[in-house]
Amino acid sequence: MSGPPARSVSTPLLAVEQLTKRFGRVTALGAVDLRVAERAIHGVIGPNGAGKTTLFNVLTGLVAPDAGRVTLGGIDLTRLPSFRRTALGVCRTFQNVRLFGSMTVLENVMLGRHCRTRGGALAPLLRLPWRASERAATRRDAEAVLEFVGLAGKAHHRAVDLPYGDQRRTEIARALATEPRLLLLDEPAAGMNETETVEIADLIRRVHARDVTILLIEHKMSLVMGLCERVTVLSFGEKIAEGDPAEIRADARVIEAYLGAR
Amino acid sequence: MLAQQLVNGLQLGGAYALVAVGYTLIFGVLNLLHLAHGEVFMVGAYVGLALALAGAPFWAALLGGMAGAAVLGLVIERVAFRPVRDRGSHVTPLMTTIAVSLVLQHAVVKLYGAEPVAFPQVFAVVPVSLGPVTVTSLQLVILGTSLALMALLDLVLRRTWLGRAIRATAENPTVASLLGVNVSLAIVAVFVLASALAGAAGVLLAANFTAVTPFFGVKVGLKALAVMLVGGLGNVPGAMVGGVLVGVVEALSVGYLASSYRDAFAFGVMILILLVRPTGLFGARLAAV
Repeated sequence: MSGPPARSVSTPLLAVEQLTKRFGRVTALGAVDLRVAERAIHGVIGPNGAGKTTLFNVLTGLVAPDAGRVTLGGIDLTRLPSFRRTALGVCRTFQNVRLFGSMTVLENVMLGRHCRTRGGALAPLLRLPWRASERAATRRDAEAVLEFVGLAGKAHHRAVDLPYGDQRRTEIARALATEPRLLLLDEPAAGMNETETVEIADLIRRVHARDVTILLIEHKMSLVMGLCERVTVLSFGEKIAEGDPAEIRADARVIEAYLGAR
Repeated sequence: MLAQQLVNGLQLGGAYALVAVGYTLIFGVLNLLHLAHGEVFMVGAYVGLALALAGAPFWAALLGGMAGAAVLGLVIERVAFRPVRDRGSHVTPLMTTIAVSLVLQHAVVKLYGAEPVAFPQVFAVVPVSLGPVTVTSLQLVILGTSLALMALLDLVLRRTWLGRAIRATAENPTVASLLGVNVSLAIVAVFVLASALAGAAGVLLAANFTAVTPFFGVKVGLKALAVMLVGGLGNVPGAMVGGVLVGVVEALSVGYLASSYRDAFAFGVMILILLVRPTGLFGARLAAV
């Protein structure tokens, strides 16, 4: 950790308090506490069914929690609809890529600019000068993000026609287009080979260098241990450990949870 | 003679397409049928009628009919869709919109009576000769207006911020909302657009048939449903093409066969097309704009 620890503890960007979600008799999240420091890369690991994706779903407003609170920079998100959270700076990618199949790569990313533009239905058609310039700016911004993730040459391909790795990049680009303060990445390296995993790690580092705080779910330990300064371990909806990668690797409960699950 | 009937068919089909595009837009974003859409069309026609009777020029009657229908669409979304949208079965909104359609029909009966009311001649209808075809100035206005409105809708859906939000909502509302799209607002916008187009079609066809009744929307509504199925559920260009196709078939059957069977031919075409292509001519969803 680069900053002084006192600061990161007192002013986390994301604070999750006693977050609880049950599905029937299954407790997906049982009173989970989590603090993610500003400008951190924070990992969430755990065996399958540990509640990692449910955590992301609650953080982004797809699933309402049964109890607990989520705040971003002191703003209470717990009851806000998804699109408001996006406007406040939370965005995510999905474990299974979810691009808009009918749209081009560029259009997918332009949609991400949606919450940062005022837009309008007829105005762009009437070529009102300030609206036309906004549309052009949206396009330029989207192109810049594509350039950043290395997809500048594929802007006009249909998103679903791209190879898998590029689809993941498109999804990250689309999320970046919303200008997130906190980016949630759900298994960004799933289904990727070693080379692609290294490339994704490099992209995540470059996103982080733009002052985006990252919360990362990942199964590939090499990626998590290489990127994250802090790691939280969930098992059966409970937080069983938290610390830096070295501490997590040595933690008896973590080893047990993984060995027990395999 | 053939060319003449084709022109008649195009003009009729353009108006059908305007109504069908609304059905298909709403189906595209909600996966629900809006069975009061024919009555939105009818109310649009009556608003246009009221304005025309008050001496308004045709363009004002048209805009008024669109605005009135748009407001009505907004109310219907609020009253008949939003409360039941995410709860209950797909059948619930079918019933709530049928209820709305009956209420609207009888409200208009109360106001204007059940008898046809003549639509005033809003401008001089002069015949225009285009080679072998003679069209009236009214037909040209109807055809031109339908085509212009559909082109405008296509541009809005394809090129604008709102259109992108609507397409994203149609394809995946969850992801759309995660990217900052206010999905409820996109749905409201769809109702406003769809209803305004139906209102325009109402005024255009009322002027064409020279009279309106409170039950004017029933047959046209059913035909527009058929048009939507022909074009493919939720497919906007499909509804445009399907509308023209059904209109032309109807006009040809009037011209060459018996005019009393015009509806049978229109629906016959729908059945034939669905037998061959059960998902309609274009199959895909609104997202494929």
